[in-house]
Amino acid sequence: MKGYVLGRLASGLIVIFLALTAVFFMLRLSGDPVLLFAPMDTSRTNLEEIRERMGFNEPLAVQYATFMGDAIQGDFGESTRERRPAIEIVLERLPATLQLGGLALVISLSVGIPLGILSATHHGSVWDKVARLIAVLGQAIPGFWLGVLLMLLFAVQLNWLPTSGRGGVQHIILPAITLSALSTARYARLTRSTMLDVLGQDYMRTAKAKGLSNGTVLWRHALKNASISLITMTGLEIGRLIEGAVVIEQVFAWPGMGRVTVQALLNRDFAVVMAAVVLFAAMYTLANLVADLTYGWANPQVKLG
Amino acid sequence: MDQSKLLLNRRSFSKATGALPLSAVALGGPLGGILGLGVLSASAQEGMIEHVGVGLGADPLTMMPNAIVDWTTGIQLAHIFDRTMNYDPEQNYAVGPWLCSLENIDELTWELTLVSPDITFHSGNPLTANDFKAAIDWALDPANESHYLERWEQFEEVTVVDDQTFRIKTTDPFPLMEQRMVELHPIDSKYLEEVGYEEYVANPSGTGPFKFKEWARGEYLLLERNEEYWRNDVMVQEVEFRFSPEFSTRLAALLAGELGVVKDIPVDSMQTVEESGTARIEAIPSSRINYVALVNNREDSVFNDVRLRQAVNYAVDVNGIIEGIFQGEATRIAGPLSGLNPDVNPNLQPYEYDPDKARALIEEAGYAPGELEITMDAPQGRYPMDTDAALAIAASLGDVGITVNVQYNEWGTHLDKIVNRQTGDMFYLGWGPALDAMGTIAFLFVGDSTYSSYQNPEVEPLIEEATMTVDPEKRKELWFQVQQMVYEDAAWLFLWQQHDIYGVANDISWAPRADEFLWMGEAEAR
Repeated sequence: MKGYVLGRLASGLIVIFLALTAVFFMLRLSGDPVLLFAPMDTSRTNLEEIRERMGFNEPLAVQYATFMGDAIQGDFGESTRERRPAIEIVLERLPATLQLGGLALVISLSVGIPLGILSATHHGSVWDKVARLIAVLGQAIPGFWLGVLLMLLFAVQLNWLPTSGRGGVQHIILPAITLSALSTARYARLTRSTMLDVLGQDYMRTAKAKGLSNGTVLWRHALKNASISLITMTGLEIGRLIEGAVVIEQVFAWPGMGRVTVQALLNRDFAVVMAAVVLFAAMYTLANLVADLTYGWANPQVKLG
Repeated sequence: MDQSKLLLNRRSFSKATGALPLSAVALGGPLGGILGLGVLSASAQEGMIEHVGVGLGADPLTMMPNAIVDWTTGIQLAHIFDRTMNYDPEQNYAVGPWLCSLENIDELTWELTLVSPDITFHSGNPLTANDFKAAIDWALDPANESHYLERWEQFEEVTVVDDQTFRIKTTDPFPLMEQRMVELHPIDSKYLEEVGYEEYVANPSGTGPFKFKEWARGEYLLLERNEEYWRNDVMVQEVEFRFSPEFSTRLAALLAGELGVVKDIPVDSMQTVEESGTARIEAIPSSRINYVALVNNREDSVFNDVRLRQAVNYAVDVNGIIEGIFQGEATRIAGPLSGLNPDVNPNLQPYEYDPDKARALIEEAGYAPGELEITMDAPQGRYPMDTDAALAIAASLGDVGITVNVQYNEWGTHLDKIVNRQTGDMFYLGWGPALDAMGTIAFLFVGDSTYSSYQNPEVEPLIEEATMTVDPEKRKELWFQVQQMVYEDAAWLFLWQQHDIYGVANDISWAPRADEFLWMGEAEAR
């Protein structure tokens, strides 16, 4: 078990390394980082001096070696715009992203799974149709559009909630619901199909024949067996929530990592993007590791290692 | 709650939800604040406002003035740190005194004198000439990597004459001294010495109308009223600069009553704001200009032929675009400078819309109708209505037989292409704030300068002479000449000066300025 975890962590490091390498070269090919930062009424000589000072004049291979050498020691360089360590800029936004992503995950689990169970146990009924409609809508509506709609309705029109920003509980409601919509839909659909599958199995008939109550059959046998695919999905879903947060944080001016990364990308603030890539890759790797470890609980047949 | 308004709002809401997402903010005002988010409430003192939110796209990049040239950073810092001089709306935006007045002693020496001996920093320290010298010396120290190092590189020496007076000696005649003094913010040198740089930027002290209170990165910068402000009685208790990268979010926040001032309302959202019952529109012709470059500083460009450059100016119905696309919210320019520029040559009249003349010029240049195919690079969403305007220009040129393919670029890519001379033969660009001739002409009409699209061996010596001429009349004469020449030579497709369109909450009295100086120092309740 310990060996397995260590092995997985090592492969996680390789993933991070590869992600960093890919993003490093893509960023360098995206264009000149100095133009977006220097004033427009500046001379070519001055632009050249800035490039020189920031090391953008070095051959790409040298820039890459320097970057990796520093990155291994946890130094991702300085933001060209803010002139402070990039990792500091990204880390101070981490709590906001975890808060939003965490709440969105809780919402999608606690709405999506019951919805899927309802759908499966009342297969073909009105409940099933309503639940499926919600699931299809959740998957079909783009997040930013849903976000703007909710903002218009609940903030501008009804004035119940603030439009944007971070502060009290009321600020997180709209972005969390928006971010969770897609995941909720996916959980509902997956729960429904796996539950339908499980409910049709022979051992379910056996359980019922033993005289177990409906509730026990459903919770102890059906859901536990269905949970394996739900756990796998959660590992992936965390990645999708991070991805979704990039857009939703923009729309709701939520001060998280996604927003800081998009802005850094648009401003070609390379160091900040690289620091963000490391954190995103690490979060993704960890989430999947935890998901895999949880299999052991759901299905004792799974032996890790 | 007004029932008829509620119904109206519901109707416009269902209409809006069917429209495109980001323009779907076509909604009415707030119908009562259940969570108590209203930000404005009149306090006991007449005209006093408790709190005003100002919507901006981004955080300031630093709390140290004289470091970074960036509009968003500058506008926030200007509320904490006063400018040394400033553009004066009452003098048609000529530079006038603010903290100091300026006197030209000789060709290389300028003297600045404090307008009052009783100005103090937020720390309590009195403002003296030393604080200006400290600010300039800080920016000129290469270790600090200030953007102003290049802009002020002609400052050879700053000498303090007495507490109220200092002199700047320049290496060359420096006619831009007034404009450069708008950029200079004195720093509290005594306090800086006491607390050090880190603490200074964490808790800055200036002489401005507002004192630093709190900066939550990515969320807001909160400033509070400086009760002892030397210029006027500040009527706003708290200013909150709130950061949201999406324009539609800022607009929604304005309509919901969370923000007091939002810049750059698109022309097609003006009606929404006016009908909201919460906010109104305040628009003003800005000093920022938009133009289309007709590249002649690259060998392979078709616009090396002046006849084609002139043809483009005759072919495009600029007034029609201003009426049709901008609903009148743009002002035509004849040459490279707007009417707000003190050096503008008033004798220039815009090229007339004359497609026949354009066709004749194209034929004269040796092209059959339909033979010319040109790429025009354009940004998208950088300047007001730029996407639509670029298409309209292309369509006008199509009418006279020039096929124009519009290539929209992400902003960074657009700049890359211009600087590396990799654009099509035309590109769309804006420039500003442009309140002095040199800041525009010396950068855009000198062949090898960074963003230039134009070269002319007869124009360049005149520009060089003008930039070294301190005598205002003589300098103006030279600028007039240059403008006449680039106008006749049809260096650009001359378009318009932008109008800055602000959304302002109905309970605030606030006026916009042409120089993009978003100033809450004189706002009050309405």
